[in-house]
Amino acid sequence: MGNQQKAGVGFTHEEFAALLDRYDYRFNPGDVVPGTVFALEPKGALIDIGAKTAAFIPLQEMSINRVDSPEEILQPDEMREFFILSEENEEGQLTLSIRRIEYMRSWERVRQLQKEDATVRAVVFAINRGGALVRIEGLRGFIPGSHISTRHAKEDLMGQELPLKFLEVDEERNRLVLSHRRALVERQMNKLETGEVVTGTVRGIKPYGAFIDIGGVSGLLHISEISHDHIETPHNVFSVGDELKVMIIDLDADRGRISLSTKQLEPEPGDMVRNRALVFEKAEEMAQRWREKQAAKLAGSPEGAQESDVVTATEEEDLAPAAV
Amino acid sequence: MLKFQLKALWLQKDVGLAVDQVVGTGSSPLTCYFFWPRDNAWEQLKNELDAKSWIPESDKVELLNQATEVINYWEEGRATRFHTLHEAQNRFPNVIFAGSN
Repeated sequence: MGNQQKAGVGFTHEEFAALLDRYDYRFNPGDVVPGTVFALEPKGALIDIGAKTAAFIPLQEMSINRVDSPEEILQPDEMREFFILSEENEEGQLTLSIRRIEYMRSWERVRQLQKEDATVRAVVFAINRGGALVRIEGLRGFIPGSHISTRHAKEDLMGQELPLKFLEVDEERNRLVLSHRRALVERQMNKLETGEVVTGTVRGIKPYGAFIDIGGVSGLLHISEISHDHIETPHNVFSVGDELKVMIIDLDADRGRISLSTKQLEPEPGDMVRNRALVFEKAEEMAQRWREKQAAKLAGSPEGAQESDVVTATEEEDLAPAAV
Repeated sequence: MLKFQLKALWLQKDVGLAVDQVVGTGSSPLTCYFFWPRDNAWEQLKNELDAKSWIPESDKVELLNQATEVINYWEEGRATRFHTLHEAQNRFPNVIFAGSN
């Protein structure tokens, strides 16, 4: 009967449609608009966004997290922003989403965090065969087992807060992958210095070198840094479980790599092969010499030489006893 | 109760600031991170909030004042000794610290 009344005042269907277009031109799918919660319903909520008909937000569009009832997210008269999900239906009602906005903004934030190479902290809420799950900025993130660093069973991590670094952030493929190991290596690195002698344990031996555990993180003692003597294979020198002194020669925080050397600790070339105990006994002394050499190298750069006439790079041999 | 929540990304070279809206049992992201001093985070945050006319003016002022305090504290650390994430969290218990380096 409404139609009849409208027909009575001389309103054609075309005119009516044109009028609607004029009024609602600002509501296009994909837009983000402010709205006020008008009424809560069991399966959704009615939202006033200034359209001629209250828009509807279904329960499953209210959050990126699981929602059981609208009250968890919305309260009557509350204002917030909504994403226009679809065009008006036959009743002129738009469908809205909060979930879409949250995805857009959360992914953007996570990309920002990754770009800064930030360490984030998050609580493990689930563990599966492949690894552990956490939430970062509301998104579900995955820590592969190989990137979890713990001496205990993986299951014990449930409910624990871990420091994490980003490995992969890919919104299109919905992949958010994190590393616990990288965060720990970085933290450990901040405590370590190149030229420092630390005690470690051989954890693994490869043809190209030995992996040494130093205080919970792993460093590489490359085959070329074992001794001044030629080493056929690290197996000839080390066994898993060996405890040894190593010097840190490089720290690469970006790649989470710690490079070690015993070669630089040798009092005489080849001592690592012939008399390891002697190398460890003299380790601190040799490391001190190495550090001085490094410092002299830096001071010996063209700019350094010009500034300082007193100390020249060639005096490194004389400097060592003076400093000890 | 404030309906909005300031978040900070506590870095050595910059401090990042973002705002969440507090909804029901959790929170919902309202803005991305804005950085200081790399960018003018305060100005960017102000523009972003001003563009949202539905946010009460008093909440905007409160958020921007908090942002000023956080930036000042970060600057103070730059002038003397970098304040750790832990120190910053103690100083601003109402701010959520999203990460550090």
